[in-house]
Amino acid sequence: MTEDGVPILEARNLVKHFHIGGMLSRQVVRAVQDVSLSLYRGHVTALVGESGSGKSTIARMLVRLYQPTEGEILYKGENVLKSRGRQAMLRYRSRVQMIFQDPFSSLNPVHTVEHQLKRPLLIHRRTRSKKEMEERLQELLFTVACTPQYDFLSKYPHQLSGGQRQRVAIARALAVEPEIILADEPISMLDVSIRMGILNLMELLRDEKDISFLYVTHDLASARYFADRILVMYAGHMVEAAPSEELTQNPQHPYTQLLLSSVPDPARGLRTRSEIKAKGEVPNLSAVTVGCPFAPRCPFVMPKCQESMPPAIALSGDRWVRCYLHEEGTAI
Amino acid sequence: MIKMQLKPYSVDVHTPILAVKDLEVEYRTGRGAVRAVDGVTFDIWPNEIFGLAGESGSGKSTIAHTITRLLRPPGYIVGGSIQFMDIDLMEMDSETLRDFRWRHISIVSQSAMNALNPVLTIGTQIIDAIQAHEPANKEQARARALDLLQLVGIDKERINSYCHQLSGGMRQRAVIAIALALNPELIILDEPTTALDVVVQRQIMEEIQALQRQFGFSILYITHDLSLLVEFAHRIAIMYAGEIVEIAPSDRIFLSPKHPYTYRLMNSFPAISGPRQELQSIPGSPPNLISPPSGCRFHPRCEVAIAGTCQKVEPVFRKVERDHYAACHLLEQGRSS
Repeated sequence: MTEDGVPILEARNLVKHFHIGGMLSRQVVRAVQDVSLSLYRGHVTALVGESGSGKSTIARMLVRLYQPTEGEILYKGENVLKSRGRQAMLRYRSRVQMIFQDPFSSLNPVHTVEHQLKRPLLIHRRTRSKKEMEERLQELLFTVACTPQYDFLSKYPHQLSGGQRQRVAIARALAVEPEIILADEPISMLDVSIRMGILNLMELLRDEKDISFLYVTHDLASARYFADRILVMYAGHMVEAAPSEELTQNPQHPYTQLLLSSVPDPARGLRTRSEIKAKGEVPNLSAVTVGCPFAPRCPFVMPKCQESMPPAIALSGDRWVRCYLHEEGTAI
Repeated sequence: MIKMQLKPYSVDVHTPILAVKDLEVEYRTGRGAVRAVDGVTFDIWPNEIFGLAGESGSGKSTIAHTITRLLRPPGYIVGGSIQFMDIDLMEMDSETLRDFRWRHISIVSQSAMNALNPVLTIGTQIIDAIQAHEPANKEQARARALDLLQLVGIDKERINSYCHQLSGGMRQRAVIAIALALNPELIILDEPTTALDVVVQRQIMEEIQALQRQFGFSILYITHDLSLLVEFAHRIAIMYAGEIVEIAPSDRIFLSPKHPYTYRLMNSFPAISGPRQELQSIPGSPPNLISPPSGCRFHPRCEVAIAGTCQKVEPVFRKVERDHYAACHLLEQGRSS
């Protein structure tokens, strides 16, 4: 973890419920249930899970696109959910930026790259003169390796390749010099041959600008490659947290084990098939559940798993797991 | 084990199920003709899982549509031949084609799970597919539909479900059941699990593999996910910009790729096990096929291109070792990439 050990952004006991089916409907989707996490300077944290696990909802709460139903978000120790209004929001967003999955829709198709990059600089009043603005645009495009810059400034999104578009989206996030970037599946829409270029660029930004990343993904292999620490989500709950190598090489939660054994692995081939078999599918998030959400599918299920949600149990090596199989450890 | 009907054609293990030769397909657009498939040749053998890998726009799905003769304008077959056993698919008239398709070659595409009819139960849709091709009565067809659902891992009671009552994985399984309904010799799977989560993807892939072993049909598996193919396919063809650049057994593709593109592609996605390696993406991006690069189409992105040769002369697709073919000038000069 970091030297000083103080998180720059911290989420405590976040809960998000979505009401669906119109005003009179009582149906509630419990997208995120009691999730806590910390982001540190110059540190990449991956949030991994299948679709519907709540990982994108967490990122959207952290950037304040969604208002949490319960819980706190602390920026350097201060609860940001208490501060409202345009000025407070602007201040917060100049610290916390987001990159979206689809660069085809996150860039406005009717504006040039120049316009897209100028917007955050103008809104956040980052430049004082025309000359400074021009220099800043050049610098941003250079940072994301979109060179020659003059060539890119006048282009429209449809004239760029997918990888270039994602680079422009990253440049736009960088415009306000954020401390934290929340990247929601930033490479999953891109061609395989250019994905690593985007991950390597983000790695460079972490190293050179000391930016803290939350990398939201369904792809455990890329999380292992890019992240320092991996958090695993299942059905709205965070079930395991560990440093990347430990999590991917020695998973402790049965769900993490299932997820890992499902990842295609050419080195493994078909000589060994998935070691863990789980039946069924991800549960319905509208139902009120007690106990561990993975219990109905878990091959190691015990009676108490169906009665209450296991606490986060600390294991050695800066990791924890929410599973009764590890109860001899100490609850945190 | 569930009984399936006898095969209508007797399969000869010494001749390919499908032989594609010098296939050329064009899309005629307002800005000129795009040669999406340019001189593609490959065979698929009985009992084989043949993988076709490539990035988006490499022409892999166009091949699937061409083989099933589902290609529609502005797409046109410009040259080459497609043989299914001893039948020339190019010559087939639409009447024969309608009977032939699904009975002998079926296709499951990425969006197939969204192509199920929302107002019919999945049972009805399977029964319809059977009755459209075979003189089975309702009871026989229904019994067969139940068997098929069980084969793909769907509960029998689900036969009366509508597709909105099923999850994505279940819907894709239902589509696979329909693809298996007439016991075809060849099933084309075009990115069948791309829209699904990894856990469901693995369950479905393992089921497909078990079914393939049980019934011995051949599979043409099309995907951009090379790591998945290396695990599941017997042989793999790598496509780049409308051409096949390498064909080899999957372990050869993984352990000793011969074409620089294959090599770079194998090194452009991180592994979940083994040592953590520093990875690089391939510089540049796939070319625009309206005006493809001269010579070897990969040369603008290739770090080992031979100056003066690769940009002028198109490399010949040649045998490098047993069952291993590649098109690269480096191999002709006896150097290995």
